[in-house]
Amino acid sequence: MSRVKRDAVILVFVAALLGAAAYFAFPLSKTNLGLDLQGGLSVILEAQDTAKADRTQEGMDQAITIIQNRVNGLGVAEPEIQRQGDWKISVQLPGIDNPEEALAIIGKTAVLEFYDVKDFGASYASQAEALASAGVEDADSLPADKRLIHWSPQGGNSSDQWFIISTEPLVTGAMLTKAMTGFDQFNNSKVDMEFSDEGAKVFSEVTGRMAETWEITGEEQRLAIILDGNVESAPTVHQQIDGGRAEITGKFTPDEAKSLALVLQTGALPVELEPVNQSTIGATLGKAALNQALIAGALGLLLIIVFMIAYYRLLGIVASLALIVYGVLFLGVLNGIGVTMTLPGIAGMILTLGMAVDANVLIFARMRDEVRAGKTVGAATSAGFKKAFRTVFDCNMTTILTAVILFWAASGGIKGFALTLGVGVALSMFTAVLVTRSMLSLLSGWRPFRSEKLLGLHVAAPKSRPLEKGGRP
Amino acid sequence: MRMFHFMRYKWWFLGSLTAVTIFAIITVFVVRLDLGIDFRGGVRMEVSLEQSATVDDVRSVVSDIGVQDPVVQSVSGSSGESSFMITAESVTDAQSDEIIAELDARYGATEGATGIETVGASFGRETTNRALIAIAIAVVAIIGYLSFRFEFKFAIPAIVALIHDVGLTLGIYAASNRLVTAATVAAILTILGYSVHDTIVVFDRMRENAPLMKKETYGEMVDLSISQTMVRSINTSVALLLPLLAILIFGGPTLKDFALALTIGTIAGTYSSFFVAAPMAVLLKEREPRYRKRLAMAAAGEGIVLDAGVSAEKPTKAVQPAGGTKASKPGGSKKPSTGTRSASVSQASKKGKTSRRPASKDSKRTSR
Repeated sequence: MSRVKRDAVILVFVAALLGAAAYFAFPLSKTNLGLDLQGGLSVILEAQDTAKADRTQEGMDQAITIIQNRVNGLGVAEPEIQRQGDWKISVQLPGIDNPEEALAIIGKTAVLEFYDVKDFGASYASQAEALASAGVEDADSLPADKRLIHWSPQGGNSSDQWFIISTEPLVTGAMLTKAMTGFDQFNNSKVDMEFSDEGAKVFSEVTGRMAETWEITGEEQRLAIILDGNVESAPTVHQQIDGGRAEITGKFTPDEAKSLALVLQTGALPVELEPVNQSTIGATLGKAALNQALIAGALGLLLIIVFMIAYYRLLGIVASLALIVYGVLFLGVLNGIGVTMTLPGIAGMILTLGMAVDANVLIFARMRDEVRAGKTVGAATSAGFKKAFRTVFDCNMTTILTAVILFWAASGGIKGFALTLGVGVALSMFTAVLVTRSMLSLLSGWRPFRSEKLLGLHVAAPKSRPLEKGGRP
Repeated sequence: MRMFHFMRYKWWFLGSLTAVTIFAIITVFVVRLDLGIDFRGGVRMEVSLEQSATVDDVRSVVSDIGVQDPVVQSVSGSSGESSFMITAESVTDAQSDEIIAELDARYGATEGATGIETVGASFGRETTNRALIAIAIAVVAIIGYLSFRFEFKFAIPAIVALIHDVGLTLGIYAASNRLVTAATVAAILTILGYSVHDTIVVFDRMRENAPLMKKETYGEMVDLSISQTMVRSINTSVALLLPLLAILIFGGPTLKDFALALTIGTIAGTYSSFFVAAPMAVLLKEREPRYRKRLAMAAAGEGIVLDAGVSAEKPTKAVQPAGGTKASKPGGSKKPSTGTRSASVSQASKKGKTSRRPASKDSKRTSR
């Protein structure tokens, strides 16, 4: 009696869990789909040590915040930006139409710097000429405080120019507070910038000094505006610029000007990031992959149920019910904690369907042993569960162990596989053992569940034939 | 019950499967695994075309744009269109745009059905290292777990069986020139975890039968254990193979790759439990004094037991005499008497319930 009571309590508990799980699990449309299933851009950026500065942890933290700002500026729904390990940042942007542009904005280091052009702003028509004037053979032998830059000015009749500049920037993008797009008098796109108080002061001093030099010497002074190592423009400075405003004109399309403004606005990344892994998946492609996976999963489930019922009859039905309970609980857990489902994750789920019934196969085989040894169905059931549990536990532990190791080692979608595999196997052990057992125990009062034949427990067939269906008298 | 005496042929099983494993591993090293961009770095593109095109058509488009050594495969598309996977070591952003534009112009690329994945070379190296470390840790973890739950002498055969399973899977990948991807590595790790299942099922039964069968040689006990568990081991594997089959039929390219490796590994894992793990465990255990004694008794001994014992022993000496004697001598001299023996006796007295099985086995033997 108490045994029945206990099993009833277990089943009520399971039913409650099932209800809760169903609440979280359905509708399935609210499952978070990974980028491989809904399309989008996924990129892993790695911080690099550069000549200028080593990567730092603070830099990484700042970079993540900045990337977040930039991504928000893009207007992406539900972006995911995560730190991976020490030096990597994973950025996931679902449903992005133009991956290249998005990537350009995210990955842009946007190091904006204003340099003083040496030799009174002299420009040279070729690299050789510039080097000759500095008195060296090649760019590598320039003094440490000087370097050679190359500017291809926009359109018109201007030809390429080379400058020797100082290596220390006068003003940097970090001193900007605001950047927006505008148009110059030729209706070309430009970027207007506003400096912070400190930036304004520095900029005013620098331009003031340059204007003064020009007045005294009559030699034009130039600023070189360099963005990410490329010379955007190199205007001459004729007067002190107060008020903390400046503009960059260059070969911008309106879109480029907009991105540049966005990048400048959100600040330069304090570490240099390089995309080390990047994937773009079209929405249709993702959807197709999802459908294929779901069909495969449904067919897999069906095949397992057919196999179990064909081989184990009523026991197979009970195992199949437990399998469905497992499926709903698992979906509930995944959706409940908001796991993002990836294609490998679904593969893991499908696999766990097969592994979940493993436990039942082992238990039912034990029950057959016990029936063959002359026990009644009831006694065989309890002995079967008891004896098989150790095997089931050991088997599943090895899989859980490898899933944990894989979760640690893998990146991206494969992590999702490791997660569903590990959690699924652990959960399935619970349903395949406890749920099956309680159901069998409660059903044992019912006549069909006392028949060895209907339960698929009588074995007349020779053991060595695996798929022999026990059924003929 | 007719019982097959597997362990009489243990050297045959071990010998042939060792040969298979060595052959597979040599294949891996000679033919070389085709490591995908996940490990070496590179670009993978998937394009769906509305009009039919052949692999050669697509390859010529890609080559004309200037991509070096592109690999073009046809993959099952979403809705009957022809889909292609293009892999190459280096494709610039401009080139990939150009490829898609060109394919679109010629064959009509399906909107939104394009995927591009770029993996940096350093990231690839890191993935490779992590994969190798993960596999090493998994092997150690499994040895540790089996030593903890069973004994060290069971852990080693299980790992040797795993080497066979994974070696065979990789060998087939190398021989058939299949691309090894990150999904393949995940599958291999899963094989490590899963194909021990069947080994555990047999070993668990051996652990249970050993104290109940006090007269039989270890090999006979293992024979019985295998006969008792073979069907369920095959059934558990079938239960896993069914969903894998579904993935092989309906899954996309990534999932198929994954399912194929797992299918090979699962099948190999099932038979290697009986034909690699169990015979090796017998070899290791029969070095223990009490089982050597039983073996000797069976060889010298009475009636039909002699028949089983001798034939279990004879092939040992006939096929590989050096290995056989080497294997049994040091074990005997090093461990004169054991504490495990008394432990197993007390265990035996506890398990009165299952005594029927070995008893029935006895009756079968006398009846033959």
